Amino acid sequence: MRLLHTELLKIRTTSMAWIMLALGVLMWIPALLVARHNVSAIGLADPSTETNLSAESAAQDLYTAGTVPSLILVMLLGVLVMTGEFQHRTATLTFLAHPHRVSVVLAKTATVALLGICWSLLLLVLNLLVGVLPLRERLGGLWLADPDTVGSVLVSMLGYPLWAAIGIGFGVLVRSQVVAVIIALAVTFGGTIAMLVVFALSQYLGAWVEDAVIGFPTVATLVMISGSAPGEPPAWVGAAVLAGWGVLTAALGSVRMNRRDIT
Amino acid sequence: MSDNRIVVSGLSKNFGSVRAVQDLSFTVEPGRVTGFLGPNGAGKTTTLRMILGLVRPTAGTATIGGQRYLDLHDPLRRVGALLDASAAHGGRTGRNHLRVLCAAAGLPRRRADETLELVGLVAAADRPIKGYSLGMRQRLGVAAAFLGEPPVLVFDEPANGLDPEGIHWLRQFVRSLAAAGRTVLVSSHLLAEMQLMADDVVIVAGGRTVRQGSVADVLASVTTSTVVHVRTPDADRLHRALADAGAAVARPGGDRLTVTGMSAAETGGVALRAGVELHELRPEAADLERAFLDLTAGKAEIR
Repeated sequence: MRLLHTELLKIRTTSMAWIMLALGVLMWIPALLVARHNVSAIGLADPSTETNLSAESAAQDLYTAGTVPSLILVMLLGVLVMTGEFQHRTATLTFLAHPHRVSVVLAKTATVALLGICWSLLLLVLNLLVGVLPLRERLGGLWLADPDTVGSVLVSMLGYPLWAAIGIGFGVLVRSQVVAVIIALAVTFGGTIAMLVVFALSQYLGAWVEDAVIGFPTVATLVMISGSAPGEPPAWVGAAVLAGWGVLTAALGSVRMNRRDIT
Repeated sequence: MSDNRIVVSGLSKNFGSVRAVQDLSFTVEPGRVTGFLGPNGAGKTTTLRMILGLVRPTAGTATIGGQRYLDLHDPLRRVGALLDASAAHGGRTGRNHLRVLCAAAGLPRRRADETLELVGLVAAADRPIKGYSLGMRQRLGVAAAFLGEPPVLVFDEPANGLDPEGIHWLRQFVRSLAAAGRTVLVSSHLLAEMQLMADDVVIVAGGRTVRQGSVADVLASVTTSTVVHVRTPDADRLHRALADAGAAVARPGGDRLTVTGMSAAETGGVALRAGVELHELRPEAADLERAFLDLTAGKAEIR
């Protein structure tokens, strides 16, 4: 608890978290607008998938609007919180107070995860007030009791601790703040680029390549949140992939952190 | 908590092929200020960081009160350290910087205010650290080290960036810590300062210990021969008289002579008997700087 309190105080006493919050709001607005726009398409055929957009999935999209950019921001916060210790050379003081470094890494992960979950609760309330409530007639209700909708919201919240762990992990593995941010973003957005490449490759290499894109955290998150459409992997595979990334980066990072000389 | 010795035993550290510290052993006693002296790159900072568990030794051990730093319970209440004055988030205020450390050490927030007062930073406490001068950062670092009122203190080059008034303050503060029975280890390359501040010295060069002991003993051990500087209008006659009396005399030029192997009193006696007028008779003061230069000469390259 002392570690958690310390880490929260560290974040509170700098401007970084407020900048992140502002960015989060900025990225949420367009996401909400898109989700609201999609409500007008309920019942119409979606030309890309040739299926009808159901009111239920439109409601789910509204409740979880802004989740993906928020997760990326939480990951960035993780990277910044961890690399900031070396950027500002405060690692010396941090590890003098807590010589057992892995406990510091774990506390940072928990702190960023906690902040992420608080943000996701705020996002949920905002999405309900500005998204679902005004459009409840078109949606045919609030869908609050719908198990799939509740599940989709809960699963999106699960993403925050996982992305926090990924961010902290990158932060520990890569000492330089700038390089760590670039690598983290590259892996994140690499998912989108990878999808395009994979679709081109799958003609030659077979369909398994198409399934392999789920290995990228963004794709895994999309699978996890949007649930299983026919022909897509189930949501738990996405969650497992994310957890794998989080555990892998955090574990490698902790081992490295323990051996590193703080000079 | 009866024993708050710092014991360094056979400590070595290699960074790749660079042997930063080699087989270093020394003890730092409570109630005394121990100066840790050496030229730049002698391995002082690396040694301090090994004592504090930040750098893993290649070989050897360092203990504080018999325990490794990593095994200390509540380390900030046992050991206070000032290692790097620039180690602070520039966007934080001085007060918040100390409050974060209070939180980390489980100390009450008021300790932040108390230590700010102790180091004379109250007026700047609520300004961001990025606006602090190096001297102010050093004072903040001293405040951070003393938050938990630890019985053992380690300062790495604390006088860096301090003005004369600040250095005077630091000297008084460090002396008062030792007078209260605390163990104090201070690294520095400011030799004259150490002569005023330290009771004991450990001198290192090229990653090895070259001498350790009380300041007085170290000085006595290196100043084997006394040197006396003399000025006289009759340098030739005095030169001959001194040489006849068995002293080694050098003549740097003009009316000046440098006498080795004879005390100032003996030199004055020889001059009186020879009827030579003296304008100056000055024994060379033994200082730590001279001792240091003698001891570390040529060793800085051994890496």
